[in-house]
Amino acid sequence: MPSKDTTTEKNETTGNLVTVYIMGKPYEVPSELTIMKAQEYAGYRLIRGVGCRGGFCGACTTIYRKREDYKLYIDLACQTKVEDGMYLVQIPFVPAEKPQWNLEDLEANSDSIIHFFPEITRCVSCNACTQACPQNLSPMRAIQAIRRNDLKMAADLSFDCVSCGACSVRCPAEITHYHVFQLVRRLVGRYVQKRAEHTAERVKEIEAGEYDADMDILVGLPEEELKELFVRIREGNPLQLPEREVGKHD
Amino acid sequence: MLYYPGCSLRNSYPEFEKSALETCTRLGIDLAEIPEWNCCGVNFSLSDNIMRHLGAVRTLISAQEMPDLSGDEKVVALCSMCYNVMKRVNLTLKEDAEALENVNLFIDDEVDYRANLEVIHFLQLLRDDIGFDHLSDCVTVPLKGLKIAPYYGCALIRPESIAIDAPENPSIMEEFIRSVGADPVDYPYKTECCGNYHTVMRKEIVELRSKVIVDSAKLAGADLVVSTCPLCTYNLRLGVRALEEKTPILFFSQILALSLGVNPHLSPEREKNVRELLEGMKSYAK
Amino acid sequence: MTEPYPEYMMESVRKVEATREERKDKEFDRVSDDEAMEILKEWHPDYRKSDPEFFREIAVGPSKGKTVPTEVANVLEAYPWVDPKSVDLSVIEHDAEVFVIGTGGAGLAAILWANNEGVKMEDIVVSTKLRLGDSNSKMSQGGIQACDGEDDSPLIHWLDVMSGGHWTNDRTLARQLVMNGPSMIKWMELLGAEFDKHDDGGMQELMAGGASRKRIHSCKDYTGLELERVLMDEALSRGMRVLEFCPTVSLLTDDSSNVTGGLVWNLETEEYHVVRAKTTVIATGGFGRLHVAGFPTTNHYGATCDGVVMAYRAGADIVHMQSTQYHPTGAAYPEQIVGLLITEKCRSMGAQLVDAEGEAFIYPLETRDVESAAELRQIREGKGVKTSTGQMGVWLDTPLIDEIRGEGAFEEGLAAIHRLYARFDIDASKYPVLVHPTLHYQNGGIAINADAQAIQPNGEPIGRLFTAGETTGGVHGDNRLMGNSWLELLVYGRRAGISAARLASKTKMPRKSDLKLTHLTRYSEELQKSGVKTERCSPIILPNYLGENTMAPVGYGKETPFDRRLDLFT
Ligand SMILES: Cc1cc2nc3c(=O)[nH]c(=O)nc-3n(C[C@H](O)[C@H](O)[C@H](O)COP(=O)(O)OP(=O)(O)OC[C@H]3O[C@@H](n4cnc5c(N)ncnc54)[C@H](O)[C@@H]3O)c2cc1C
Ligand code: SF4
Ligand code: SF4
Ligand code: FES
Repeated sequence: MPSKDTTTEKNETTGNLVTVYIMGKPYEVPSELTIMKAQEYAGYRLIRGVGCRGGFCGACTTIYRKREDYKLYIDLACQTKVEDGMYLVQIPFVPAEKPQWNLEDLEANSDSIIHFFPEITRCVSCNACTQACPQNLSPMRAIQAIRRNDLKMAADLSFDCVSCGACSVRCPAEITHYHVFQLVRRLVGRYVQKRAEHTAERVKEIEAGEYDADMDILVGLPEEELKELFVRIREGNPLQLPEREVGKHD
Repeated sequence: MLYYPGCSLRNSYPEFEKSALETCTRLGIDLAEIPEWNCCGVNFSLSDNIMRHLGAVRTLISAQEMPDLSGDEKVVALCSMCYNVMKRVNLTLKEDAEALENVNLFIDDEVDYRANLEVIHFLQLLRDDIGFDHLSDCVTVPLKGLKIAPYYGCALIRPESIAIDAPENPSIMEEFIRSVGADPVDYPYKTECCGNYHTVMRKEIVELRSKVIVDSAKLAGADLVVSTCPLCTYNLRLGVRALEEKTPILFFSQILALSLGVNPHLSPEREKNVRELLEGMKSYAK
Repeated sequence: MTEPYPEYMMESVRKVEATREERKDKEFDRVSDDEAMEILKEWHPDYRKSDPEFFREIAVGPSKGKTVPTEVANVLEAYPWVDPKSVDLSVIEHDAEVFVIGTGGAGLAAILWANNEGVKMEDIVVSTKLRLGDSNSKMSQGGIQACDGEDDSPLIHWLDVMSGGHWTNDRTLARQLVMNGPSMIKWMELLGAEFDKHDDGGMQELMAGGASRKRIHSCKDYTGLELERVLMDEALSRGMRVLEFCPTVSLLTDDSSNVTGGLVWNLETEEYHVVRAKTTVIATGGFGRLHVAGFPTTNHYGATCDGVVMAYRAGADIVHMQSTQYHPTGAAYPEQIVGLLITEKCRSMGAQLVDAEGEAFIYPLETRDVESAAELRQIREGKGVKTSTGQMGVWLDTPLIDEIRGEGAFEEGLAAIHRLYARFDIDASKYPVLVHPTLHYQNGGIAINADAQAIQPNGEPIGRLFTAGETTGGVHGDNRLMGNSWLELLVYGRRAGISAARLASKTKMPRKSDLKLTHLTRYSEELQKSGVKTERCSPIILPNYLGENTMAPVGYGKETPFDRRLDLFT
């Protein structure tokens, strides 16, 4: 039996140290770290500005500048490697009220969206949002698709949005894109996409009790029989229960 | 012909676009919709700052990059507000090289705009490319005896630099009305402003102005009023309501559709009214 | 074109490319049950029960004597984080009909169904550790199972669940799981979740590893993100009250051991808030951040086993905790993303596991434990690829996906993965990616009954305590199949919400004198008596990644820094 140390060799820090400025203060950190890990390495216990640590939650929005570069960058701290001379600060939260809506009262059109978010009509197509988006989405195109009443396109363009708020920070029209997109996608999911008939059909069958008797038998079978059944269905065969003798197996 | 629909047509007034597109098919006009067009930027329509009009520029770039263009195409707009904004932006870019350069530098995620497109309104297309004479030849159901008041509002004729006709006393809509067989009604308020965006915050201003406009058209004997603008239409209808009147306010494309015998896409609440008018008109024609 | 890997890795990539054509249409033999067991026994960390570095018996509490991973024993054999003497329980900050702990899918489903059942939103109090919706639920990629296909049925799904769990599952719980699958999909559909569908509205369904029918419903490879944000939006739209950055650190109990609310710790102001509740739902998710057996993990930052710890001290039994799910495809390169999940959907869509020599060594859709063990075997036998940081891995041959399904299929169906690698200049649709097993899922947890009540070892429910989701055990037995977890959290989150709401409507609000921490005092005394010498405190709330710890576990077997006392905010 192998012992505990085998598939990984010693975890050594291979990279050099680089200097990053966290809210203005310099720290030396290993160059292969992400911005998030660099902060921890420097001694920050993260509460804000951290979540999934995997690029899914948008909690770790970070703005930074690089040495001798005028550009302001926005990225996810958990997905971005540190660079020497990086000046950074996190924006763990972009203030925005989420309006309340009842999907059942709405129709899938851009008027529904403008009703809650009239500010989208102020979009000047500057595309600053797109330049900010760490997911490389095109929020501007999505907003404009809403203006064209093409909600499907807006939903597709915004599907990978992780609500980091980077776009909203840069937007001169003060749009809160991620809330807008959430409404768009729900409207598309609810009203534009067709309903899955086969799912509804199966729900009806189950609710009508069509599987109950067979289930009663199945869950009572001994393990050996279940295993045999499984081998057969796994080969693609339909399930055939042994003779129905309800009540016999318990 | 490159086609710019604009937001209002897609959202609030599909009948405007649908009726216009049907007439194009009948007249053999080939419209190619600009892909992924942006909102023209009407909210900032009064701003001279070109940076407020990047939407229009992006649309023009998108048009410019459409395949198989000769290079000096026209972009046609149906909504007169869209026309107004797009035309003014385009004009600025054509005339002001510095503005063009600035915008092109700013929009660094797209190719440069070369400023060689032309923006026109659909009425210009009818007048200059089809010809009103030819149009009247195509009419199959002349709207004989129908008294129609043209409503110009502001967007087609102000400022002068982008006007599609003489700003003080335009006649293009009258000519259009004649070409479909109807009688244009002259009335003093045809170029009066409807109140425009006051409709959002100060409805009473709009109601008052629209009431005056519609009343004046009625007094001059109009059966209905035609407009070229979704917002004007919305506002005039407020005026009609305030007058407790039934006078239909239609888009010009809808009466064109009626005269060509294609679907005018009348909304249900107007359908009856207009049909009644037409019934009366036909008996008159006999 | 520049190559995405250093030359020493490219050598192996070329071997993978050389065999691709031949492997493309190859029919794999599935391993038999016996062969599977052999691989597992030899290579899977779960099968090292007698090695105290990996496992030990719990010395205290209701499930005393059960064998659990060392890291779990560490948080159970630990003193309560709260010192009962230091808290003033007479100042009640929040009164709740239903108190929900956690805002992953299970918590949100409980909230919405409690509300559907008649509890007003303002009477539901919600505690969550970090930002609303920060959870494993949001990270899940591949999809959710439900038996709505033509050749499928609840019976077939049930057999799959049972076989996946090596027939150790609670049969009744598994039955309730599968019977409610289609209705949960329909519910999400009506809430506006965008599933991958055909034009006619029919679901596009894929095969999960270990399953016998195609029944994975997905939303690109952001399934969890999509479902979670829809649930969040619905709850917020109904007016949910949520205490963010306020983890619950202990339950409150009365003299008859009923749960009467919870004690919440505000991470920012560092104050306690007392929540008095008629009923309580624990939905705190899994334990990935304990880094069991030293593995890297796919889990979110807050996955620290808190729910199990709190329920355990209140008397709940824990079951199936001896088994842990390692996902066969965690990223192994580049260093920044080690441990992150490469969804099973890659294999559902055609990618194969291939060793350094270009040999496909296992049918790509075996159960996860078997796949992981097979990888560890290849690596141990010298057929792994070693990166410059010492991380080992085998190849996941992702370019097969476009080869089989046409150019663009990878980017379309696996946007998140494509993006993940593109950030490091690796085009995963053209080059294979290096993977290693990663700690993924807490198979076991708090024992429950069919009403989602937490139960004691004798099967009796703990008064007024409900629980659902990854923090519970029994539904999946010793091993969960992909896609059954999201189904579980919806089915049992809903169950918990409904059960809690019904009980609340018949229950009086606890008196002030019913809010106690005596169960903690008792637990501490027992721990002291047990002879376990420790200064550890739990729940640990957040792992300690300060300093060098942030670079800690990079693979199987490394000593973890997490078993030390984590004196969080002291
Ligand atoms: C990367 C990844 C991919 C996955 N892919 C799939 C898949 O394709 N299909 C599938 O079915 N399953 C998948 N899973 C598993 C599935 O996502 C989880 O098992 C499931 O989401 C757990 O849901 P939950 O609601 O029980 O817990 P979680 O979603 O983890 O939610 C727990 C919540 O409780 C909160 N919390 C924790 N402790 C406390 C405390 N002390 N006080 C207050 N709040 C607390 C957390 O902050 C969080 O909000 C995946 C998991 C991961 C990590
Ligand atoms: S669209 Fe905006 S909120 Fe969404 S991921 Fe991009 S920048 Fe973040
Ligand atoms: S930043 Fe705002 S105004 Fe600019 S393009 Fe994006 S949405 Fe429009
Ligand atoms: S921590 Fe979730 S995206 Fe970075």
